Amino acid sequence: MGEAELLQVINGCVKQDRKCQKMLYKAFYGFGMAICLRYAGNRDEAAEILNQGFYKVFKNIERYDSTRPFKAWLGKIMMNVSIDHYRANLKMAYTEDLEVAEGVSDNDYPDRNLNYNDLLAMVQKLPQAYRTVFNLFAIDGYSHDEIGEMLNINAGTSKSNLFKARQKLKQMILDADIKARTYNGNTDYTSSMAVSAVGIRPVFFNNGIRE
Amino acid sequence: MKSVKDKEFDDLFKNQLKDTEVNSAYLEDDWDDLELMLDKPSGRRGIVFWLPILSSAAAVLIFLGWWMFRPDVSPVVKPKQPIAANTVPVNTNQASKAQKVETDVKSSTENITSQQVAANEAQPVPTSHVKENSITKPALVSGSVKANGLKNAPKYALSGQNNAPGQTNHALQSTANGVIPANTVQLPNNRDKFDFSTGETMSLTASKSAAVASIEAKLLIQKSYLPSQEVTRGKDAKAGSSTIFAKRPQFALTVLGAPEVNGIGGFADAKSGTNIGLLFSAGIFNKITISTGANYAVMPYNTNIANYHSSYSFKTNPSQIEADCRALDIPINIDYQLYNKHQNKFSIGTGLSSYIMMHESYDYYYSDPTTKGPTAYTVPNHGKYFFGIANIQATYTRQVNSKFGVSVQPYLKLPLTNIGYSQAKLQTAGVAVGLSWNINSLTKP
Repeated sequence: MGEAELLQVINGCVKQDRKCQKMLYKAFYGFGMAICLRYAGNRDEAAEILNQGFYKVFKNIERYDSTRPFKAWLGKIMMNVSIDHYRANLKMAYTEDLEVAEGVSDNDYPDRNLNYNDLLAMVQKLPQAYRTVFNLFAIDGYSHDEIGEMLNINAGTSKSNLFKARQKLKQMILDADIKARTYNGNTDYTSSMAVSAVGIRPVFFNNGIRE
Repeated sequence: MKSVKDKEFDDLFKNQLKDTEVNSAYLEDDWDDLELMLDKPSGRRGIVFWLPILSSAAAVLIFLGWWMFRPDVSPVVKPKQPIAANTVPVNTNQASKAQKVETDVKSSTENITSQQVAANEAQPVPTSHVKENSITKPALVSGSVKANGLKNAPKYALSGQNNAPGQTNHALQSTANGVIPANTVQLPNNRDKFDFSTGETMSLTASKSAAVASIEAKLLIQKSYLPSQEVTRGKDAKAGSSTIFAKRPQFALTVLGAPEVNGIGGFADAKSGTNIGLLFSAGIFNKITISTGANYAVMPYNTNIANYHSSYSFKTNPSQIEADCRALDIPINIDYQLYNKHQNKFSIGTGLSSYIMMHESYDYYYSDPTTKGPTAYTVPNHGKYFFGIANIQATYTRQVNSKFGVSVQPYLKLPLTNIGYSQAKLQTAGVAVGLSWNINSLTKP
């Protein structure tokens, strides 16, 4: 969607034109979903967050400053809605299995060429509290102080959650490596998952992505 | 060194997951879900939304049920004071000394519904020409019955000559429950006893030796009475009599709904909200009504950082803050009726409200959308602000029939304390439209 076309569609959305809303939704569905997927535990949860995000977008579209990139604005809203979702599930988030991360040394994880789906699946497997902090720090680039403000936790908790998230992810990478080696009869690793085309729906539209 | 490793590890994820776009992910079902959300009117719906209102209404109704059908435990007023006295001085030529007849009637039961006491002994001769004789129907004796007056004395004297001496002329009629349940009337001088229990005219057979010259009869009647009963008496007794009414309190239930506007420090940047609730009112005096109940108020409002006070300090202050507050408003108001004619009533009132927060959330908007900072916060606690709001209202009520009335009530709610997590001075103004139901119509005889 070109810049001019985007502005036209956004203007239509300001007038609450349903066709324009759908066009905008379709155009940025993939972008928004990618953000929601890494904050959510599974695809259904991600779709729910995505729709809440787009609902906010359509209700507040007149606030959008057209001199700034729309993607940045949309991305921020998606992230905020994801954090709201995290807050709404706060009790659950902290009663999840926040067990002590196993001791995995920093150099233990294999230097593998993990693809998008592998990494997304691993992030989604994290408990929500760890996942949210890991997303905000490692991927979206916020500091622990900023994360503390956003999530109403202190910076120390944020650091601790990040540490545990990393440990868990490293363990998952190790486990995946062992599994792959066993599957391939200890031959050199060639991931069968890695060849999955990104465009094929079942790749991450199966809810059993975590399994 | 470790941080470098961590950075590398994080980048492994960041490079793959950041700014990715999943092109073929679109599902029509997701759009359908969003469309449903967009078509739905804003605001929460469903039973959860109504729960606070329903529970408040149930509480009020339970209270009313208990109040209306509670057993009557009002204590029996035991008569202590002499409230009726009749002194009839009668002078005759033959009088050698005055005889005082003092009748002291004590109440012992409550169940005598009508009793006529006639202390007029002169039954064979109709000489009871005392003015109190104008009492023709059973009436409750209340207050002091004034003396018959000396002008009646000769008649007494005359009648006394034809009859037994030592007469007392009295016509006392009573409908009181337990007014004159005592069975005896003691005459201090001759110890004669009267039986009042039959309610018939009784004769006083005075001592034969007593001269019927002057009879001063003093009848002290102790009584208790029902407040709703009325006392009637003769003209002479009018001054001492009074009509006693026990005004029945008026109770009503009112369902109110109101569009309202909320603002901080004025209504310049006000947002509209709603208020719906149930009020119970009791008319305690002729023109005074006290009301209480529960209202569910949805109070969205805009504010700026200057009026937003919290322990949290923003690194970059938001340019605008939108608050969404939902609170249970429990008012206690008193209204004074200014006008009441032709089914139209107009009253003004004031009172205090307590807020119990049911939901409180804030959205923060920054002038620069790329600003890093919190965008929303939902307050987890339910704050309680007792008597933190002053109410001022004017109410016009049109009584449709004896049971129902419709009312329009403009009102203003002014903060006495800071309300909510943001410690805001939240003002509210609105116009409530209500339907009131007169509960007394249920119990009218």
